Amino acid sequence: MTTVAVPVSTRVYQAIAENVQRVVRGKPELVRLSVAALFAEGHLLIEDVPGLGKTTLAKCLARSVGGTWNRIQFTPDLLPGDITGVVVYHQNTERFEFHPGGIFANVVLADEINRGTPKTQSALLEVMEERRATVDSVEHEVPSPFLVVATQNPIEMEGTYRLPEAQLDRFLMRLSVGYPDLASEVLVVMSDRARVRPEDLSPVVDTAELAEAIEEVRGVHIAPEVCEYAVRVAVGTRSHPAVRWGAGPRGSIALVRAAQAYAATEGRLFVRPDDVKVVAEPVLAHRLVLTPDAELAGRGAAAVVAEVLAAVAVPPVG
Amino acid sequence: MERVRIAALFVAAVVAGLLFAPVFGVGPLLLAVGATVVPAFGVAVWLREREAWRAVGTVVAGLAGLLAALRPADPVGALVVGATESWRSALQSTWPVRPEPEALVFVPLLVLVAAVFGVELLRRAPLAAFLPVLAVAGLSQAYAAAGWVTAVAAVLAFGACGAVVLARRVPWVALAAGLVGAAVLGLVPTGPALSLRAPAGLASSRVTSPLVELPARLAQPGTAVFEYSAGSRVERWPIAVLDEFDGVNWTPGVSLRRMGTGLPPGGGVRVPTSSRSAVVRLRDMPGPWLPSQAWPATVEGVDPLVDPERGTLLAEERVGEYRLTWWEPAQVDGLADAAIDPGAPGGFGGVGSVPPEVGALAERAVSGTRSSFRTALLLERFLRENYELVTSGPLPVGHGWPALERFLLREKRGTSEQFAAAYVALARIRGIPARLVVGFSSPSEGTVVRNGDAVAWPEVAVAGVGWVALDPTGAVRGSSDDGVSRDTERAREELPPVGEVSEPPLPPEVVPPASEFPWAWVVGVLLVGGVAAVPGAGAVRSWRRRRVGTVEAACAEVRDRLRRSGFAVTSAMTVREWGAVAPEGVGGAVLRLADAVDDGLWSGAGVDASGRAWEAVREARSGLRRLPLWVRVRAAFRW
Repeated sequence: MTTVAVPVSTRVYQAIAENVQRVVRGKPELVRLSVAALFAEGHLLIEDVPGLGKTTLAKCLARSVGGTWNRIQFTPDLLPGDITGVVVYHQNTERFEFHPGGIFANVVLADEINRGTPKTQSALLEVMEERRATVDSVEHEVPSPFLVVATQNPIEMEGTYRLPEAQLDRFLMRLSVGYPDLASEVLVVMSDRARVRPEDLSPVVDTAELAEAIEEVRGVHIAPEVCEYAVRVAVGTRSHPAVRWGAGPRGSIALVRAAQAYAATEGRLFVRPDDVKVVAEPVLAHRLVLTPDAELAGRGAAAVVAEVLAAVAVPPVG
Repeated sequence: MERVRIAALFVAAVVAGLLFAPVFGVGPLLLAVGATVVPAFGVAVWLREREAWRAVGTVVAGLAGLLAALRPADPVGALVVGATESWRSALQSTWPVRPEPEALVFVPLLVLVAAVFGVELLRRAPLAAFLPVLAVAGLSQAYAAAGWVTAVAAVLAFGACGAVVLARRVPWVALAAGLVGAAVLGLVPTGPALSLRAPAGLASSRVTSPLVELPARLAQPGTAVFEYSAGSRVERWPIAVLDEFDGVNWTPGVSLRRMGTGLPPGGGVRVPTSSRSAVVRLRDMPGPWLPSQAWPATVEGVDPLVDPERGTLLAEERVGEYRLTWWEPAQVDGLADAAIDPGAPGGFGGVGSVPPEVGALAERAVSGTRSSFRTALLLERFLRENYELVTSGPLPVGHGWPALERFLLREKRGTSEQFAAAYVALARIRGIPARLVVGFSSPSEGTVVRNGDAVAWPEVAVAGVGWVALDPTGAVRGSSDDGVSRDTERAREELPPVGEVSEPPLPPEVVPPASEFPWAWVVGVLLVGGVAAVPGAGAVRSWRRRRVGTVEAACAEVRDRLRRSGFAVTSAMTVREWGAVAPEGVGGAVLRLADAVDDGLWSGAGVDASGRAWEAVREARSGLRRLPLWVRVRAAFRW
């Protein structure tokens, strides 16, 4: 009898997904994409109308991973120092000491991120990209692995500040939760009655296992043809007539890394074109700036990505 | 590979140049084009990476090769004339054109230019690189449309060269479409109307009628005009053919071209022909007319103008000596019962206002019989027996109706001028196609032709034979070496006496010869081939993929089969997505193919999954066979 070694990333995914789905019912693909973002060391923006479980999903992800996690509730009076930390003068020691902000944790839950002012939102720019925060010209490393899970409500305009494009580009994926189907919603209600809450979840993987899974995902094989296909998709968004600014090279890199992570969640250590197609909309749609005409016509970025996918030839073209 | 592509382009240019073969002949063309292309190709390959010098170097090498091969007396002048005038002089000449540098040089120049432009376009737009070559081919077709065999061969050659240039794959569909198109085009009858040549040709020269000079010549009979040397006696030497008569003047209806390398026997001739030749030395013949024959074949030693339909020769400059070769019927059986040829050009070139008594005379002369060659001989006998030839003393002059009326109705004596003119006019009145020829008869002794030998005679058009000379004066001595003259004399002997003339027998019905080429078969094969081409091409493509045997080929095979069966498979779909749209019974096979693609192409494990992929293809094919019959028939004919 022979045994096939299960990849670490697959084992970690299964553990996290099983744990999260004890609370988040009927959304297996959403959970898979969320964990894929975690594996790809990318940040996650969960966007949907209130009451669909954005914060719940974020909390579940954070609690499933060992290590530290912080929640930052974005409000209009939140200051950048609340996020990155501040330097405080201590009279006792007669020295300035750094008090780390909420960003210093393995998993950071940035709840309702669009309620923070642009100035406060911008405090996340450096740390999301470079995994360090600079306070008073001193760089402070954040723990590794580091994941920002942000949520936002797209329909409220009052008291919210739209995320700038540079900020959006830092997120690997933007996911929508969507309404559950009837059966799943019944399960959600029953879980609530049974008091199954995110706070009840225990960590199922530690940071070392997660780091090992991330390292394995980095080594997932991608054939040159598939890599070229992914880049063609990203490039295709730039020439679409409804798009003013398409996805940049960072988008191409994100697409390939997300496809690698997605393949790993399926137990494969190689990427196929199907993986690229699955992650294309979550990875690319929020990076597109549509033309005013397209926005007025109600064309969404997701529809644009779908059109690009329908136009780019998939290998092997034979 | 770049060298091969350049070579293919040059080969295509040479093929386009050789399509001018009907104009110049293959030999001279091959020499000129080859001498231009070979060094040009060498330099183009040598300088292929030096774009700044490539075009200039190729042109210089090609021109050097061309001049070295043709060796014109004035190289620069030949190139200038070649670039500016030779295209026109080729249209003004009979074909094949004489292989002189000034006439030929524009074809290698065109080939060189097309090749140079093509090489410059080769990297930027490989298909556009063929446009200059195709333009040359198109121009050649404006000169002389190729027959279907040539057209198909040319398309095959262009297709092969195009396949080499495109390199990545052979454009079978374009090639097949081109072949069918060329074959269909080849079935379309071509003629002068499709050629640039039709409206070309030299304008009718301003020449005086030799008939006007006839009395003056007869007045000085001893003056030597020309001398000839031939294997045997030549009966007549035509100078000019006069086929237009307005009642007053006889004028030559010349349509002149430059004499090429040779002319075939006259059109419509169905009797055996042979060739004869003679060297002619002119003495007192100011021109522009030259002694000729009805069907000149070649003329050496002079560059004359020729009227291919009438055989007349003209020289623009004074001529000393030349060698003339001509065609003539070897033997004509049953000439007495031959029919006339009412379609002969110039045979009914007008008679003007005919005096009423002349009409009655014409009817009486032929005893009212229907027009035929025998009727023409009856008319000849009528003039011979009832009219007197004047050879000395005051000679009657004139060839318009007043002079002919006087000759026919009152004086009944005249020179060959009146005899010939009266004969042609009477023949045309009786519906016999006839024309008047002015020239010289051979002297009874020696080979020096003098003014006294000047004579005019009529010719009538006989179906399948051409123009047959008659002698209403009865004074021209026939030649036993001349087949038509001998057979005409025999026909004269068979004429019945005047009182026993009956209606000539009806000419045998001319059945057009059955076409030797099996057109029905060709059309049938084309139709069947066209219908079978699509499934046939699909089968060939499948066979080639099976032979390749790769996973990619397996994917392409399944994709095409699904498409042909009407399933919406696009190039933007992955193999797994094909499985979602495939019919029941095929989806599983497609997913197994997708697994093989994963293992063979994407896993990076170096697994050979082609066997599993083609196994999946067979399963998919078998599943598709279970579709309804009409879906499968439609699939077979989808491309």
